[in-house]
This record gives sequence, structure tokens and C-alpha cells, in this order.
Amino acid sequence: MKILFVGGGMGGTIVANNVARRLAREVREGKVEITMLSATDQHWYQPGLLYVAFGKMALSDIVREQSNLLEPGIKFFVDPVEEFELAQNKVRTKGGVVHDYDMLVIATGCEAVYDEVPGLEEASETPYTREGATRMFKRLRDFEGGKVAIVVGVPHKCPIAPIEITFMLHEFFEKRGIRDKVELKYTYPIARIHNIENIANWAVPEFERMEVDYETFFNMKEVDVENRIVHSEEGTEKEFDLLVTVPPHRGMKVIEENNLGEGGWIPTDRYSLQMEGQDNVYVLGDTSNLPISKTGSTAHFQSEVIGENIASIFRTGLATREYDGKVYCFIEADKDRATNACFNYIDPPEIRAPTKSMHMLKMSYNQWYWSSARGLL
Amino acid sequence: MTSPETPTSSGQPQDLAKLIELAAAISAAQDAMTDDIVTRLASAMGEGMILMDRLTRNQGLMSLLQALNQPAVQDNLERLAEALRSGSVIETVGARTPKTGGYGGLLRMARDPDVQDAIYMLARVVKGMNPDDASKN
Repeated sequence: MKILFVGGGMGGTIVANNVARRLAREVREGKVEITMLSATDQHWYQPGLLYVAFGKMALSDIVREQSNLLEPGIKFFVDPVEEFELAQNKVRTKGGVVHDYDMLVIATGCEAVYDEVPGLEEASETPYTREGATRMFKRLRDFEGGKVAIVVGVPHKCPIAPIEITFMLHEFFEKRGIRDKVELKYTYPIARIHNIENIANWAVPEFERMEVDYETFFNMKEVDVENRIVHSEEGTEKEFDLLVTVPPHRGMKVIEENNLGEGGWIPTDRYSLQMEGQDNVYVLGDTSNLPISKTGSTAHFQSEVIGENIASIFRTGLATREYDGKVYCFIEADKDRATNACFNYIDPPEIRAPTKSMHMLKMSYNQWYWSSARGLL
Repeated sequence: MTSPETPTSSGQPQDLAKLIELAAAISAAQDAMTDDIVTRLASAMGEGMILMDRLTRNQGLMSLLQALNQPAVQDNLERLAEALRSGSVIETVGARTPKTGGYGGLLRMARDPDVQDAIYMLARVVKGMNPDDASKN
């Protein structure tokens, strides 16, 4: 049986290792062949970029060689897929190599895009890219006061990020002793300050305590770079001296170019995680069109389901598990405190008061991530 | 007289005091922890977990551990450790050049029964590693 993983990010790596662990004996005996195709030989811990943007981690802290993270039985090639031929169970890579498969797992992820909002890329700082996170830290370090606007595009990775970034900005300026010279202005595209109601309810008093000004129904339309004003679709505007953005995201171009899903999001069954109409194709993490959080934890919990089902199908011909929509997010607050949100398709999150213990757990997880990627945690 | 349902343990206030003491100790430890300390500890734990995971899932290593558990092998290991600690081995290993060289030196060394034993033992190990011969040993 040939199992092919397309994409070597967080989701692809965790699920490939998960399958390789479950079928280790079969891989050794040559009954199962596991291959991963990726666009890069590096593996970045993307949530770490937020810490880079605030000077708490260096880029070198959040990168490892992909080949070192993979189980020994996985054949790894840095050669991204360009063509999916699902009817023939084949993919063709940029290097011209054709890989056939019995089972395919697509975990190509998504990326920040700026073309929908003119002026956004030139005018804003963001922790969502490596260059952006490094530049954002320099801007924050040199910032002497003024209006800081936080603007949010949808959909985006890490649903908690807008609120978390705002808390961290508050703390950063407080520690620098210039919080009284900074006006923090938070905006959000829908009727409340977060799309998950319990998180919004919890964050409002926190914002008020931190004296963060907030405006809902603010969908970015364009940025007047010269006059430093963000205009919204709703006709309002925000002036800024420093603009911090959570940029809108899209699925990868290769998905759209192969007509696998509009906007690069692949239609996916919310429980089985199979691509709609393709029983031997699984979709993981940010790549799916499921209306759930685009986070590493989502991919992590999904990988357990996919891993178990692939192993089970190989051994018994039947899938055994369904994904329940589980997501787990840490939320960094101010004063070295954090809390968490855990929810699924049915149960909404209940947000507890932030504690130092939870902050320590988050700091620890930043190190334990590499154990997660290896399929251990 | 109290009813059986009423908790009347005379130890309760002491238990509470112990809990408060424990909470104070945890709180003090938390206060002492910086992000750097947490990061270093977590990193060591994470890498330790990865190492343990690799070791415990390595079948070759597991077989080696089983072999090392045999009393005879343990005796040999003790003798090996003893030999490594002895002055002559340390001197020999530490010496940059052999005291004598050439075929003559080699022949003199080969006449030594201990050297013959060592060569024989190595030959048995190498032969044992050959899958075709392993069953004959």
C-alpha cells in the first residue's frame, strides 16, 4: 500500500509520523510505503512567530530540518506537487516526478494574502510571516507612542491571534513604560470582538481594564498609506501611526489551480475528513473548507483521526474514528498570564481567568512542539 | 455526640494548613520561574522525551539491552570496565605512537595469548553478525 502525504507543515508532519508509528512493522516489512512531498526542507513552528514579533524568541528557535522530524520509514522529497490526477491516483511534482498512491493526504495549508486590501502590505506590520515578525519587532522596539490600530482580515490562521496580539501589545508597551502614550484601537469584522461568543464575552472586560478601544463591524477595504488611515467596507475609518494586521488567508494556489477547491479550500467531510467524492483522499488542517479554527491543534487532533483510520483501513478495511471538531488554543494575556480555550463542534469554550501556570504551560509547549511534530505528544 | 455523616476529623485544620503551605510553596516556585527558566526546562524535557521515544522504539537497541541483561554479559562488561580503568590500557590508548612497529612488532604481539583471545572473540562477534552464520553459533 502506498500512502502519500502532500505538504510538510505542522499537519502533514504530525499525520505522516502518526501513520508511520502505527504501521511501523508493515513499513519495515515493505508492505506499506510512506512518502512525503514538501516545498521546503525546513519546518517552522509557526505560532512561534508571534513571540518573534515581540522579541521573546529568535527565528532560529522555531525552525528545524524537516528530515530530522520524520520517522525513519518515511521517504521525504523536497519537490512540491504541481498537478493532482485524482482519477488516476497520481500526482506530478514540480521536478516532473510522478508519484502514484493508494491513499493520499493533502495538507498544503494556507497563506496570508494582501491583494484584497490595497495598501495593506505596504502600511502594516504582521507576525504572520518570518520577515513580517522580524520587522514588527523592530517597529515595536522603536515606537515612541501614538495610535496603534489592529485590523483583522478573514479567514485567518489562529482565531485567537487578534485578541492575543492586542494583549501582547498592551503588555509590551507597559513594560517599555510608554503605555500611557499609546492608544490601542482594536477592530473586528463581525458584530462582536471575536467570532466565538464566549471568548468575546471574556475579552470585553479585559479590553476595558487595559483601556483598549474597540470597534466591531470593521471590514478592511483599503489603506491610505500616505495619510495613515484604514477605511472599512462599512464606511468608517481608523487613523494610525502603527498598523498591525492579521491578514486574510487563502488556501494554496496549487489547490485552486487543480480545481480541488474554491479559494484553495478543499471540500471536506467534517467527520471523516475525506475529500468530498474521494474516499481515498484525506484533507487536513488549514487545507480543508471546514468552518472551524485554522490552528495547529486542529491539525493535530485531526491527524489522530486520519492516522488511526488509515492504519485501520489497511488492516481491516474499515475506518474507525470520526473527528469531533476538537480545537485547543492557548491565549496569552498580560502580566505573564495566559488562559486556554478548548471546544468542539458541540461544546463552546469556557474561558477561565488567566494564570501564570497556564502561561508557563504555553511557554513549555513552545518547546514541546517538536515532540508533537514527531507524533509523540 | 456527632452524627456519622458529620466530618469531624481533628486533623482537618492541620490538613488545611498543609494545603496552604503547599500552595505557598508552589506560588513561590512560580514567582521564581522566569520565561527563560521555563523554556530551558521544557526544552530539556522535550528533548529527553524524544530521546526516550527513539531509544524505546529502536528494536536493535532493545535486543542489545536484553543481551546486556544476561549475567554472563554483565560479568564481561564489568571486566571490560575494569580493564578500561587499569593503568596499562589507559597508557596504551593514550600513547600517540606504538613503542615498536613493523612486522616484527606485529608478530611479537600476535604471540601473546591475550591478543589471540581478543582476535578470536572479535572474529566470533563478526561471524555472529552475519545473518547466514548467526544460526550456527
